[in-house]
Amino acid sequence: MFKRLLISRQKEGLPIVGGAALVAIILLLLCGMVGIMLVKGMQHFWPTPLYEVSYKDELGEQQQIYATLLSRDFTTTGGQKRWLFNQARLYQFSDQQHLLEEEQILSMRPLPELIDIQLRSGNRLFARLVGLNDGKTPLPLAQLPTQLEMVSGEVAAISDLERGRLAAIHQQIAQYNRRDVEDEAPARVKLEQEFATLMAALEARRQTLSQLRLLLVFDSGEHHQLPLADVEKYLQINQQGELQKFATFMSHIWEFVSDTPKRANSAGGVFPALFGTVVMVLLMTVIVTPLGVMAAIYLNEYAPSNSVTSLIRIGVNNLAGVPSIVYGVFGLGFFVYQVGGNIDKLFFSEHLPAPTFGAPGIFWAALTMAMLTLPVVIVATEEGLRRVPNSLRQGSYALGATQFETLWRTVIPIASPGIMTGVILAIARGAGEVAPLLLVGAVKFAPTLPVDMEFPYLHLDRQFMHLGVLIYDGAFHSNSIGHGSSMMFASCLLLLLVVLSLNIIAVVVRAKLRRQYQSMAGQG
Amino acid sequence: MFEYFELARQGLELDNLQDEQVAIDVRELSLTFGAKRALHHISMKIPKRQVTALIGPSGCGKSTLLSCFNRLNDLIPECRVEGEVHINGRNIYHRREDVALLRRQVGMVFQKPNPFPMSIYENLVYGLKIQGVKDRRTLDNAVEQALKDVALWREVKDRLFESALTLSGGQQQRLVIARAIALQPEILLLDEPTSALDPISTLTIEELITQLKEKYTVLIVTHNMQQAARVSDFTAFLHQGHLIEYSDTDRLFTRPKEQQTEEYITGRYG
Repeated sequence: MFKRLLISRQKEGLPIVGGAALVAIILLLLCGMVGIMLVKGMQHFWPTPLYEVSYKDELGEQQQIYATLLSRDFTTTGGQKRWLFNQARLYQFSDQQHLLEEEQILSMRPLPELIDIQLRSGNRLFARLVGLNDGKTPLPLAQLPTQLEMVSGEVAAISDLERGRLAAIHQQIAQYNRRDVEDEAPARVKLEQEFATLMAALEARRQTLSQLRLLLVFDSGEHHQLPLADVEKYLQINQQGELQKFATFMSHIWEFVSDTPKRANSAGGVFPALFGTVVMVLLMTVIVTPLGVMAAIYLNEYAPSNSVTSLIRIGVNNLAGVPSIVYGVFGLGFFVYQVGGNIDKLFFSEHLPAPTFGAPGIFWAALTMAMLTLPVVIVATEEGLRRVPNSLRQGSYALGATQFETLWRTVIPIASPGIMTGVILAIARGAGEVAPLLLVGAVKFAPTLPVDMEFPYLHLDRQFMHLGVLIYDGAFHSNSIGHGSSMMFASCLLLLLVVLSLNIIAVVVRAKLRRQYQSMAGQG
Repeated sequence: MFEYFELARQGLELDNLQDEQVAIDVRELSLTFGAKRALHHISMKIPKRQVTALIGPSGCGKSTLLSCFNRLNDLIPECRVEGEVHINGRNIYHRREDVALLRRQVGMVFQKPNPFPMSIYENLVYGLKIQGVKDRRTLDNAVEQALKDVALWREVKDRLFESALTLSGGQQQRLVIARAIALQPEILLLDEPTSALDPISTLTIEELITQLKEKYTVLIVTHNMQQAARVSDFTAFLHQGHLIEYSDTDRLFTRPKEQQTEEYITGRYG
């Protein structure tokens, strides 16, 4: 008896243990994924020390570079330990990576005077800072922060003047030219004089500015004088304590989410992509929710229960399994070329052949994603509608409500948590999808945001940047050795956060709805 | 078969009712669900401001008959009705009948309390709001009157804006009745209103039913013969879609004419 019990216990126990193990493995995988994103993504922001690295090259000659250490154990096929360094030099468009074998390296010194400079041109350079002067006399290095602040202010003021008063005068003169106003006309002379004085004053200010220079020594041994006006910001990482490093870390994060990309999306921030992702997902939600809800209501409440309806239902379910790139091609072929092309012909014919809506844009992208996520919303909404007890419908009908009134006042509010579940799933799917977007509107770099202060504020025809596309792009960035750009991981982390927060918003809304229309399951 | 009906009808004193005493006049009503016939040529006159009980074994068609009176059967796609039902002198199965209007005149309460998952107040004004009543005072008055009619006012007057689902089962059922009478119907259809309730709540509802007949014509479907005997003035016994016997309650329970009725009420079958 006892033995039989034991055996039956064991039989039951096996699937339980197996199931638990599987769940554990899945959880582990999930944690691993988030962990990698977290570690690799955060690495992008944490300031790493700058080294003066001396090594022997293949010819046995001693070389010296200023570089950060990217990876200590970059093992290749030979099993040889190699170290990966990142070097940034003036006049170089992107950072250069060096792979050195361990025994090649002679010394690595984190010199305190090493400096990481971000130029206004977008470039970056590592150098040794030896001094600061104003053209004649050297200034103490301690003045560098205040001097840089002064210079930045001055640069901003100059560009304001150029774009403000100077541009206005210029336009006025151009207008005189068009109207053939004589050269000696007093108004014109006065304007031209003002223009000349302003220009001269600006030139003088520029001259004074350019006198302020940083004295640098590059790793090649070359001395260089860098105008302080070219410097956007600098970082003397080796002089920073842990607390300062943390501040730098936070400022890097802030820069990442608020700034525009630089150097072909390998540096700077991802704000346009973040913004584009959120706007696209919101647009998609706005489109897909009413469509999906209406379709589900039709299927569940109005459609006769016959073979055609069940055929439609099967079709909807299968649509969810169609590869996303197919939707992309559909969006390009149907929305962009057909619908967009015809809109252009009808409403924007004066701009043709330049397309307005006949080209990929955020609206078409949102519409394509709405098609992609439509089945999810329909299925979840139908599930929600099915769970509304019939007794409530009858109660509503018995009070003299029509079918529409019953739907509007009773069924839809009670099914709203189910509808929200569909929206959550749609958001989760829509925010992470890249393939269709590449065809219908997402680009590697968009000069403008889809929403701005210019009428009509929301520019549906504009192309946009997307975090997923940025990640995809970043994976192909590896300058030399197959390490994807570290920004890729950071963008990944951000994308996860975006999806998570959009989901949290939707879940909170759903919880609120559930509380309002307490679970009616018991009333079934 | 026909003779059978003739016999049953002759026994009814109810046949002598004046037209203005009749709330519902059922004439040769038959109903089919697809191929299955659920009601067979039912004819009966239901008197105004009285409680009429419909009794019979499960599946006899008593609930089906009840929902013929507010055309809730319309919701079932394969359901087809023949014959006529006259309420207020008009045939409600006429093709130009306004069903929404009919359902406001003929309120219905179901077996399980089915308050909407909204506040008590919202539940009570649901029907009025659908009619387009917006005036706050009218709505407030209707709520108060309906709640007083079902003796719920004192219990819930301080929590009108709490969810109706916080009420007990018996309170919910009274709320649902109040919801129906807030529309000031002429007829109330109660479909086994106490079968999901505890004995005390059942008693309250039964007391309520006897009060309601002062204002409304009440039809009640019940499984419970004691209940039918307690609350109703007239009783109809249905069996397999046929109206077997219909008379005043005392006579039906003490001196049933038909053998089937007797067997049913004495518990020999059913």
